[in-house]
Amino acid sequence: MLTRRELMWMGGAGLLLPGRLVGRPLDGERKFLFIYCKGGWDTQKVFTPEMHSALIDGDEGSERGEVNGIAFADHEARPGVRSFFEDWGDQVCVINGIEVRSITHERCRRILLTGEGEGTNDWAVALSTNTTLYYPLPHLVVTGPAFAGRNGAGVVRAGENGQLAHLLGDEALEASDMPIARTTRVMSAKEERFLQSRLERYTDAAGPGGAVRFGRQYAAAIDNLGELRSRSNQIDLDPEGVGCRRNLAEDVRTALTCFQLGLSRCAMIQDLGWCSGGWDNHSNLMHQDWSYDELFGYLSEVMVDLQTRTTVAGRPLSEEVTIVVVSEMGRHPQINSAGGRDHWTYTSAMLIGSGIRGGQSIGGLDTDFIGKPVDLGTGDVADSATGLLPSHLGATLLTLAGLDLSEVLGLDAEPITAAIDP
Amino acid sequence: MIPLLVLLSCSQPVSESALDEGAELTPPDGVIAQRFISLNGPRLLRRMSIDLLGVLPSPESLDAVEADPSKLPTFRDAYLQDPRLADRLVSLYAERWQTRLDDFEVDHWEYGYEDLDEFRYEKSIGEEPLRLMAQVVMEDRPWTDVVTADTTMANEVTGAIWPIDRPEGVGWIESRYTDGRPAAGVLATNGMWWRYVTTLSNMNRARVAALVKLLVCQDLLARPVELTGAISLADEDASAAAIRNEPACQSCHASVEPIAAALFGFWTVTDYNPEENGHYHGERENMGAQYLGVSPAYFGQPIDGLAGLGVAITHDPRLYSCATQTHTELLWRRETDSADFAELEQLRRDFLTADIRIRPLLQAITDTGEYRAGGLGDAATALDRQRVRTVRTMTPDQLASVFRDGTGFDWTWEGFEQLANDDLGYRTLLGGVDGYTVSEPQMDPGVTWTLTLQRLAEAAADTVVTRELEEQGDRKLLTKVKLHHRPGDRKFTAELEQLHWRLHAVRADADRIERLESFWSDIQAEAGEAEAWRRVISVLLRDPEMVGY
Repeated sequence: MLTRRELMWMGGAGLLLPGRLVGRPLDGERKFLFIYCKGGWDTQKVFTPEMHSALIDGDEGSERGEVNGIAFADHEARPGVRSFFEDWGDQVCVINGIEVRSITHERCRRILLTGEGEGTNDWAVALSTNTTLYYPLPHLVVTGPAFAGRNGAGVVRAGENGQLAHLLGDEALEASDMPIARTTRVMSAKEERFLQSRLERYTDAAGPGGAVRFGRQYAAAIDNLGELRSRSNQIDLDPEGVGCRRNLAEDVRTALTCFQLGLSRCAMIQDLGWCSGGWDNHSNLMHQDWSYDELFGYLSEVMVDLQTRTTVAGRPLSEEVTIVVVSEMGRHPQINSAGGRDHWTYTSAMLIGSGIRGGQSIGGLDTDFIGKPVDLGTGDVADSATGLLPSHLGATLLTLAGLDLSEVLGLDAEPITAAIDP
Repeated sequence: MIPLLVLLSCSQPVSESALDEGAELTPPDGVIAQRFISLNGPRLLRRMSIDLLGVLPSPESLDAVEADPSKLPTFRDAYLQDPRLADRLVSLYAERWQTRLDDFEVDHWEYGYEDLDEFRYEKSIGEEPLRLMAQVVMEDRPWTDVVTADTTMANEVTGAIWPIDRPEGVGWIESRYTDGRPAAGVLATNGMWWRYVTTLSNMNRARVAALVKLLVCQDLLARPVELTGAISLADEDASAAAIRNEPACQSCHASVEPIAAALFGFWTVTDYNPEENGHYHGERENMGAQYLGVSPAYFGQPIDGLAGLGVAITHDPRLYSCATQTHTELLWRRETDSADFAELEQLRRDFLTADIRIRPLLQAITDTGEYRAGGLGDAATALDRQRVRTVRTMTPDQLASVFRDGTGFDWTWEGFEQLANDDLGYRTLLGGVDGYTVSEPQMDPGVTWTLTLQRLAEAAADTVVTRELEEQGDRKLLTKVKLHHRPGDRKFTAELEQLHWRLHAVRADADRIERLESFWSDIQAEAGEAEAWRRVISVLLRDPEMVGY
């Protein structure tokens, strides 16, 4: 029997047929954690090792390493990278040579996360609104972007500086130049009940048009907020940073807790790199070394954390969580006059964990630093194969969720089945 | 059968029962093919007031329109002449132009501002081009001035930090840059190019994509790129040659490079530098032709630098179709597409007939069936049901101004407007656009929208009750009742009826009043009269008829 909340959620999303709920377990839906490295990473420093040609300034001091089937650029300045692949490489699939077809940050970011320039929802929104289970906080954006069009009710933003936590507590009202007397929880609860009752009458009486949708969404949001409130003592929505940057492992902890509690299906976390300086290093390339070393160090912490968690049904959470690590663009093969690298239209991605055939690097870059075509089924590079695009990444993620890219988002791309554990 | 667009007259009385039909009126007998069912007069007046002024209509104006719906256009036309329209236009344009960032490359402390002034600094920069556009509208100047004006708008901040000759006065004032920049309206504003930055190697190309999209609604970046593989992107010389000669590259770059060449006065060679970023560099104007290998031109038409670019845009018919489309989308609260062609075309013709002035265009848009729709009729299409917004969700800017005007509560904190930023505030949590992580306003209520609204209503209700009942200050919202009044008292009931009317533009029926009185009594029994009024006002401020419009 569906709860009222589930019915509201279905009505609001307007996407599910009741039949799809039949026969599905009430636990075990795959969750997706997105880690987005803002600014564009230099793939030569990890994912595309040993690139040398007349047109490519290689990464100085790095050597080709290979651990657990992952080929990578090994460098003493980035010990965290080797360490991570040694410990977790068998769960990692690196995908190289993804062409984002632009070199402007905003455009690349949107294309990487949506497959399109305009209009469509991003992968996380698509995944979190096409589910078989009910999630009060379908897509938790701890930090970073979300492309949800105008129907973004399922996107729950924590705020870059703990705003959601402040709103749940009293801090938000304390942060006002005009003094505000706060009410008690008992009075607030009465108010919530009154409003819910009012919304029911509003929705029931509404004629054709947007009032029904508005009323249902509003009522569902209040319900979902109630769920969040009841669990808020278990979730750190305002994690402590470390020095001049956010603690990525703590941000992930927040997301994993929401997965664990069944609150969310997807989460987005933005990594701003070393000292929050971003990954957009047109100069000071050593910042990429530091950012990578910190990122992989955090990823190691995340993997350890993930192994300790179980779902509410007692299953290992690691069996349900796929981690997607991306950056919106790569960096130019040639070092510029400022000692950095400019933008490049080919990037890499890492898929980690549940559903992923780990221990492999798929694709690569040629001597012109162009993505090599890939056989999507085998992962082999072949001249006659497919040039990888963000839509292939999206199709892969949706396939992992049992969804079809063309049905859900109207995009035409096949999944990279070589990356998926059969 | 051709759908008959029927806009119902506003002559029917407004009642709770009408509201319970989704704020719609029942179509008169004999009308069977309606696509849209119009809001009744008071609710439509409320929509227009919120859209055009950012405040609720006065009870007196609601009374007038309720009594005589033919007065509605008079009120609407007065709204279009109201100075508050300027702020609303800035908010609307901000959704599209997305210049109101929380961070710019040059930080406030570079100019000696304290952190308390950070928000004011960032808002001032982001609003410069938006204020100029709004000024063109407010002075009934032709829309072409947006790209040809030899003035800008400056406030105390931008007038102090940039080379601007700003007359004495308070707030945004028409002013002039003094660094010799050409007359090109928003194209000659720092606020525009501080938002849409470029790099040494990008050489204004990204800026071209932005201006073409914003002004003529052409998305250059959406054009498919099919490289043959014969081009080595890593080879700088080969890439430069390909941009000039390769058909796959030329499909975009033939347009991009010549426009980019006109923008080199804003091309900076060092980043994060107030002097470099704050000034126009006339001496670099010719670098465009030098570095890009092409002379300035606008889609094949040679132009004379930045000023020539602005003039060329005014000769592009897409400027007018884009203005029509943009303003329509902003007021319809949705994207348009080819299915809307006929209506957009009519609006465009009206716009041209009105000497390309925006006020008449806004007037025409607010006359459309879709703008006035409170419900969908039998002739509504599946597409209508999917996308037409018969209930609109107030944006953070609208909530801020409506609550400020209606309750006296203004949510600010240490110099930040809390509903207009995401550093410390709640703009995106409340469904707003930040220009970076969120590029489209959220139209459906979600968790953080609900929570932020709850806190906002809680604070506003506290402000009202404290000032108007407990401290016996000026009455802004509670004009009749005192703390000793009880349910059943004439003034008590009248106050609830008045609140309903003032806040929702709906006449509350007996059932609604009874429920509110019961709720008040429940709270009063436990926490006293003041708390009871706080909670009653709070639920009225959170009501779907309040925040949906």
